[in-house]
Amino acid sequence: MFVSPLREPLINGSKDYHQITDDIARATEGRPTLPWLLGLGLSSTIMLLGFLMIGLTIWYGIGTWNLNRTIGWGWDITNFVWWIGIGHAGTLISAILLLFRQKWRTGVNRAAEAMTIFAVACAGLYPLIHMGRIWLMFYIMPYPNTRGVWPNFDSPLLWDVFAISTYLTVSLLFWYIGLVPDFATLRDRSKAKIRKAIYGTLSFGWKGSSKQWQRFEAISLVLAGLATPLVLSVHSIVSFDFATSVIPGWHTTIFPPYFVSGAIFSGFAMVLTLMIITRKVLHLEDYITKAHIESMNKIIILTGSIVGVAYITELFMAWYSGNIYEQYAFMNRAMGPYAWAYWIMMTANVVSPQLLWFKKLRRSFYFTFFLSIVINIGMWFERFVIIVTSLHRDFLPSSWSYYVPTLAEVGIYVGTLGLFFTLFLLFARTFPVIAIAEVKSILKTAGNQVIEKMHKQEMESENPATVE
Amino acid sequence: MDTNKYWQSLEELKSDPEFERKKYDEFPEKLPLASLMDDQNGKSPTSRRDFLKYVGFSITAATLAASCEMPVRKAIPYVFAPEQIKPGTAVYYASTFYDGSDYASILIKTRDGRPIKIEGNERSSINKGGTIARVQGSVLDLYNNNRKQGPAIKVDPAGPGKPVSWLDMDKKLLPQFGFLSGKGKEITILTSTIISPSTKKLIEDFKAKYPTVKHVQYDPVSYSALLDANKASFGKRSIPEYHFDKATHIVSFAADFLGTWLAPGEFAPDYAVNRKPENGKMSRHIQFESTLSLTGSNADLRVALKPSDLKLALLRLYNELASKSGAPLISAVPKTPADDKIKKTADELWKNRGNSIVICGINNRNEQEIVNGINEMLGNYGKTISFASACNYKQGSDKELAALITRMKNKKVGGILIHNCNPLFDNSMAAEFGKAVKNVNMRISFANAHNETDAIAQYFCPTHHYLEAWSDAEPKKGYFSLGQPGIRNIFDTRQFEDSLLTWMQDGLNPADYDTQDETENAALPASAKSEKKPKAYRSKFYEYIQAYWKENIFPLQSKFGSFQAFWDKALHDGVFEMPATEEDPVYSGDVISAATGIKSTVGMRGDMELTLYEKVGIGNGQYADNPWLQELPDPITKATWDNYVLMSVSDAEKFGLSANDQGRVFEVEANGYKVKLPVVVQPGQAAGTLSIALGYGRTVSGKAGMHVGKNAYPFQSFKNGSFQNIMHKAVLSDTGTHYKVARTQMHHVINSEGKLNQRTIIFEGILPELEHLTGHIKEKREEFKKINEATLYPGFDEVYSRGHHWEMSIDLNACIGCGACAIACHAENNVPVVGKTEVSRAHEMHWMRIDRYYTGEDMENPDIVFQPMLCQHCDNAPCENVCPVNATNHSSEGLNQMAYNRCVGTRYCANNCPYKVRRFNWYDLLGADSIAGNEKPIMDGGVYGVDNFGSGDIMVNELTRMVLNPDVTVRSRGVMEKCSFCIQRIQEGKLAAKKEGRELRDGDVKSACMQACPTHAITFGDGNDPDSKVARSLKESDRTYYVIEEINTRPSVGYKAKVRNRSAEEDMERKKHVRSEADNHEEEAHS
Repeated sequence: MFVSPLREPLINGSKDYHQITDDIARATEGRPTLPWLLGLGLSSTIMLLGFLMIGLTIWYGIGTWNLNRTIGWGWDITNFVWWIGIGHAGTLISAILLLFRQKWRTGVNRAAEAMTIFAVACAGLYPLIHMGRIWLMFYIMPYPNTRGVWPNFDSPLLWDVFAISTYLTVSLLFWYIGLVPDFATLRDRSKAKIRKAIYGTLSFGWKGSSKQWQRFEAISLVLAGLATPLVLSVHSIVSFDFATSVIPGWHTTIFPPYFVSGAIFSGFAMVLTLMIITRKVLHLEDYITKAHIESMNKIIILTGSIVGVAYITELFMAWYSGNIYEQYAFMNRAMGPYAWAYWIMMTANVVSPQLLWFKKLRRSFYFTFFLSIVINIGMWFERFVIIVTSLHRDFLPSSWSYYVPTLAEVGIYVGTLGLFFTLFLLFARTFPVIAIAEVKSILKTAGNQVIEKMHKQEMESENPATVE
Repeated sequence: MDTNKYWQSLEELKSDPEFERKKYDEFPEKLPLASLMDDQNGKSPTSRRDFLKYVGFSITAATLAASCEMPVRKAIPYVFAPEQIKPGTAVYYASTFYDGSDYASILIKTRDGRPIKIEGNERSSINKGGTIARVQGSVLDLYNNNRKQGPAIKVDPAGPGKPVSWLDMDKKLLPQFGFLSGKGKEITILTSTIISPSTKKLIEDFKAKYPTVKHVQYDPVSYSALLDANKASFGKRSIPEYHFDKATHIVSFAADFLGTWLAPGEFAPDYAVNRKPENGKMSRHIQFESTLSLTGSNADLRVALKPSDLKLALLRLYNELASKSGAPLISAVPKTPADDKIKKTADELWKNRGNSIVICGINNRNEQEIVNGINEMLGNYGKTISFASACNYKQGSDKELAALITRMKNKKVGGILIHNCNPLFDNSMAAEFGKAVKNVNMRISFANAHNETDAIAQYFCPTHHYLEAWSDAEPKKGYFSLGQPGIRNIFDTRQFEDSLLTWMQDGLNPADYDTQDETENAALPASAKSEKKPKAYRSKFYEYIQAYWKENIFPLQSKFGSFQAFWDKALHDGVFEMPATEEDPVYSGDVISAATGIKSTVGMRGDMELTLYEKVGIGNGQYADNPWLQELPDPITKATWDNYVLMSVSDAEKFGLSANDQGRVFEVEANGYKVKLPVVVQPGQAAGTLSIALGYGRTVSGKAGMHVGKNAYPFQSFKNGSFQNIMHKAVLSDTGTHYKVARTQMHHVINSEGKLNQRTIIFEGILPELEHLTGHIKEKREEFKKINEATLYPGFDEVYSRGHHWEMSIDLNACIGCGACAIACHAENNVPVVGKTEVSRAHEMHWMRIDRYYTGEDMENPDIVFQPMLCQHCDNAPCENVCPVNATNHSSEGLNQMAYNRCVGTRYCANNCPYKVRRFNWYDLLGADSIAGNEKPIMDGGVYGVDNFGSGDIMVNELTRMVLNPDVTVRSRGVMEKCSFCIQRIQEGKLAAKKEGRELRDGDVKSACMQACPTHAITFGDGNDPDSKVARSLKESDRTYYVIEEINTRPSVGYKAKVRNRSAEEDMERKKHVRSEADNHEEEAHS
């Protein structure tokens, strides 16, 4: 098989199959490390605090938040959309990149998918707790009932319910199917009985037969095919929450593509944040390389630029439409009381990713890590700007208002971060954070020994004299 | 083998065949069961059906006996079943509202025996079916927890009173009257103005019985000067009748006659009659004032002046007119900044002699005398101002109060009876009064709620709330009205008049005492115990009123032959009107000496002057304990639950405050009194003027009123025979601290910035250019129609054109912004009160709010438009399609409905409402939640420990909840709510029509806001009925527009554009004024 020597190796360290298994499975075996324990302790404490705030909210009412008669959604829906956005990278990597046969995806897809699921879980919390009467949440389910009342199929919030639950289901399935061979590997390496039993159950009796591998490949493709439209649909539907309304700043047709690219943008940033840490902590430098980082940064440039164009298009459309409400909404974003949020968003989302045009920065772990955080902050502000800035000054100046979150709202947000990291830390300890089987599948084409061999041959053919 | 035979009986031994047969039968006698079970041919005595009956009965009986412990519930039966009362049906009683300052003829709406709402009585020609906010709010006071529960006597001067029975109270008090009177000691009855002819007669009778009795009347916000001035000018101490409906020109000097001055409930409807541009002419209203008042904000031309300039302006106006009429001129009147406007005003007034009204709100005799002089020159007496049916309200005399204090100091007074006033709070001499009154031996308070005067009273004889009492009133000469109770007294109270009647007797009759309660009876003396029988509620004063009417009012008419028929009719109608036709007195005023007095006071002015004013909500402080009225946003500042110092924009700049730097706390010192209050920077406030509202800072009151704001009464001074509300010298010092004033609306001027003036929210114009305005509206609406026709979803217009389609028309020209509709909506729809902290978090729940917009470029004196804003019931409602659970949906009659039970509280609908009229229950505000007790933190000081007076246990308690309208669901937390167009009233009207077998008629259904509106600005009805008022109002007027019509929500509420009666030049001038100021600034910058 020929591999272009121009391609960088995706696996370094001249690994063999056994070494790969050892390297990746190592994290799940042996005693937990101190940093891991500290991390888990911290994140679970924060998570519990968040749960306390959720409890307060449910017990006393939404009045514990600072939302008001004008601003009905604030941090709750901002965080919801933010988390959903973060949850986009996983499926994109595992589904769309699989279909496009991008080999570099194997290094990051497992963690990205896990991140997707945890982020969607965090996101899913918000539509529930932001309800005034959470105990009646089953009303949004279309089930036959004696009242003869159905949910309102016109409402984008209802579509959200379907979109997100479908997305969660498919992502979960995809993730789990991918995990089955790796669970079998862990099972086979286990010495302790309980451990063996658990991984045995999780691996569904995987034997690694050809037939099983064939079916595995087939189902992966089928699920990728199913998940690909979901990547586009979920955030499109989330954007409909805003796009179908009449509020200036919300009422716009540009939202679906703009939201999807924004979601991928922020999702990739989050994957980068996590992978750069994981790589260091679990010593996976050979599997997550500069090549991976660069590939992801390229996607960040692309989606970040789409987002930037979308922002500018919005401004242009506001001016071009001649609609005074629309014009004011955007004037107010840039110059009103929430201008600070707008300019944080603009700087973080439009300006900062453009720095990645520099190859040196694109390939720097430190810079990428820093930038990924900046982008995550910027994308949070994008949702905040869209939701709160549009609502706080709409049609009737008599109702204009301002909004600052309460302790409960901040607590819940921080709490979901705690939940997310708790889940991720548990995942990193118990599941192989890199898809062992899939990484192995590219070893023969993207391992450094292969690339170096190709390179050598190339050199030889170009310059036979040196051989002699 | 032993063959011994053993036997037991002879039969056995003999082997009797009968015995042999029986031997093998277990039961020798037949069981009755056999016959029971034997159902052959149905001949059995007991059928299977019986069997089942027995089984059923015994199981049921056993279950009942074994399982259910029946709770003992205290039910209160109607001992005497009232006539015509059907459970679940509202009964209306015509009655009279009078609280010492405002009068209204009303209908009390009672449900199941309890008053829940006040409606205006359309038969009254005074308030003409409308009511002001305070009247609407008064029903809540009936259920106030702060009310006194029964008579009490104070033993320990510092402690609370010890409860006693009325009999004990009377036994103690009755001899004292005779004793004091015999010793020649004065017994004073201190009241606010009494307008009841029967009570007045009763006091006369009381005086006859005890010759030393004196009746002293004073009004907390006094009109003493007006009375004194009239006495000087006409020789008659009375207030004339003002016919605002007959006046084409109204000039007011700081008289807020639409909000608080004299009789707003009467003036507002009259005023609105001439404010309809469709009739071709509109009255012209010019307001000179310092504080931007409700009235000033409705004026065609408003001139902001410092109080001292205001007084001079009055003199200059006099001079301008005098030079035309040839009357003697006032010499040496200094110039004022508004001289050109005064000249113009004078020209206009002169041209319309006899058709104008000039009034003045300054409580000083000199100013009032000048105004009398002006009105006389204009020939207004006998035409627009008339003494023929003189007003009976506000008859109090400040001088008499001062004299009383002196008499008390000199120990001339032996007894004092304090009724319907709060002398230890509501006047500037409160402290002095408190000291002097201690010299009085017998101090009786009739207050029905705890107030500041409790501190000095010894005998608490709480009177009824007006909804529990019989009364009559004569607000203007010849206009009589009757008041009947809507409920039996809730507490052990006794009407003031009944107390007087009792104390006029020679001895007590134990039979008069109501002793239906066992425990109460136990406390009674033996002689009274025998009377233990339930008695119907029957006041003696009722007979007294009847006797008075028979003697004095019945003879005035000739329509009814028998008194009973007359009485029944008067009681049914609530009013009996027979306007008196007295001749107007001859004017003989001395303007020149009055002018000298004015000039001397103005000479002492300082840089800052202070004006005290009343707020539309709580009035003189009487309603400080009323949470509805406390939460009613001030029409201008939109502030709730507080008073504050109003400051002009330019003064704020001087003090280094930006126009938005609200709530900086300043210490204001005037007249030797200091108070720390937050500043509210108010456009329209005259530069150099501060204003503070009276009535706040109650120290003894219910929870709602305690320590809300600061007391401003001590600022007043007693000069020239009356309490002065203007201080010409005030000193401000910055404390550097901040305080958050809870306001429902931010500070926004509709101007070109942010294209606010292009928004289609308000359309306004001027009368001479009315066609321009209507043309503009037409053009815009056609444009919107074109935009809205381009749709994929043509809508359901066809459906909505069938049957009823409920619509509303609101005339912005008639709306004066008083807020009566908002309070009516509170009462009708169980709208919760949230308290100060929650209002400051924009959590207020008003279904009906009044938006206040400043327009124009002049920050110092902007124009104001009021816009009542409520659910627009859009036929293409943005809220409906976004609700995930169908909780909000559209009825076939065009109503946007809320199914509270279905609502899960996503708030999506509120976000998507362009009018922002949806209200979310952030907390359990009315105790309706399924988790009991989670409203506690709101009561106890908020989840975050923030002081949160106003909500919680103020509204959520058994007594206050009695005010809730049973026809309207009480919403639990987490539920969205909003205006329903009073769907319960619609339903009631439809059912009534159906029962009578007829079609619904226009006017059968009135929304609560429409009913309450004193100016009839709101019209509600079936828009599909082409003859209905609302359809005609919307379709026939060129002024009709819909708010933000271009977004195609198809609202059912139409507004009529605001028109001001001002010339184009005046309109331009206002703009030029700003331009010239800007030029000045530029020049300054250059130099």
